[in-house]
Amino acid sequence: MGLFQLSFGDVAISLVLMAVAIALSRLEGLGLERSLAIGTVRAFAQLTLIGFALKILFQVNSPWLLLAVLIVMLAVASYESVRRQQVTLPSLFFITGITLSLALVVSLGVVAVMIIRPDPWYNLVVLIPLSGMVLGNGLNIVSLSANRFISEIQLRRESVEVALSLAAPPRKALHPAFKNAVSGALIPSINALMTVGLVQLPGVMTGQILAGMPPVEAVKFQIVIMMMWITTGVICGVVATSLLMTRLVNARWQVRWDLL
Amino acid sequence: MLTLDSVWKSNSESPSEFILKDCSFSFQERRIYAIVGTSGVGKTTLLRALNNLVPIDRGRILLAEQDISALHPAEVRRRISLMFQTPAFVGDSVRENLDFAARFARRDKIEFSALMERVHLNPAFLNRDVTQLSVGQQQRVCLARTLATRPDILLLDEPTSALDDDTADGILTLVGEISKQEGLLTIFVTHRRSHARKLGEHVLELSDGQLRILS
Repeated sequence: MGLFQLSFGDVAISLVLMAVAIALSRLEGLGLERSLAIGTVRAFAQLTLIGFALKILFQVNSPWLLLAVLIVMLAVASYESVRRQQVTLPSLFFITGITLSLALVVSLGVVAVMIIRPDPWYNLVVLIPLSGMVLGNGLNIVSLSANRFISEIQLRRESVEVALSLAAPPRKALHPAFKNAVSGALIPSINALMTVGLVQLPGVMTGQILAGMPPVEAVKFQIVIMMMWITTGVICGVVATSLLMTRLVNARWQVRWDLL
Repeated sequence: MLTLDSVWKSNSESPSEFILKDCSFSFQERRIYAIVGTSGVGKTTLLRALNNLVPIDRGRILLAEQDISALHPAEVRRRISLMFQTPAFVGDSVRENLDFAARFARRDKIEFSALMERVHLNPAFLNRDVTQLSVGQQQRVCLARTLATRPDILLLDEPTSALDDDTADGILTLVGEISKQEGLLTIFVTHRRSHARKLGEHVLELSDGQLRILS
């Protein structure tokens, strides 16, 4: 099977689809036209820029460059997670940074070093796309679980205080809120795991097949990616919510309601 | 037994206002104190501070001559137990709620059936879902759960406010009996002076950040 290649003209034709979306929004009075238009321009600009940037990065290919790119990606993801919160949470920037770094170490350690085994080990062609997937998913899980954790604690304030007043440790008193926050944030990922291959063909696999890779080979990659994606999601939910809990309860086992 | 030593506590909603202003008072063991005061004066906050649920700004709270800030939080809460104004639960069934309290109490295991009888509830209710009980029965479950920790000090935050007069009278009588039988120091806050007089051996008023003896 040959490699399908697109010209910029071909890509521009995809704008017809966006025109349909904008027309439908206008017809039904959804008020999304402006957001769709701005989003389209941003997506074109950002992806084109990153395409050229990756081309240069892949040519230079040095471990220090890898480190620098990962730090920038981590910083942007941590900033974005703070921006997505409904309330200002203490240390969320650092909590997200620590959580995503851990997720990166685990995923790159297993998937890159033990499974894909790139040569040289810091090959940016392998590590940058993998890191992007881990950080993108991790950021979503951290944001969803942190937001849900806060609203669960507020909702359960009375039972949290009863549990604490009965000498329960904070981790035990807050466990129902913790459980709902983390499991709620993971539901979309787990649903995706259940239906993968039946309802949807994931992006990595679709992209590789369109780029000419035999389907069975593409499936192997997709399975590895799904395992990495889910595991790092669980790690991010558990670690970020646990770290947040330590910021919301002081050493005297008192909930910092003033922060919520 | 339990002493407030020049305690200052600010209002969490408005930190420049103080609910307790240089407040000092000593509660004696095996006595029942009723604290009255108008709505919003800080009665609930006082009990929450005594249970170590909220920090105080200045001063000390002493439990048997020891500053509670120097004790482990779990130790303070095992010895000083708080019953809240509105029934709230930490499990679905009555038994789960009592189990939860007993698990962290680190005292000799208490017999739940006897505990249920002590709060005048049928032991058959142990497996019942707490949401199926009336508010009066729920408050009795909360009282049983508080007692399951085998505390030395019992704090009650307006436990009768959501109850009709007859049920409220029943709860007050029950609390009085149990406090005497168990030899507990009991501190009970209410905005109803009739309830304070019915249960309290000593009636105090919280106003202007100070506790004053009324009778």
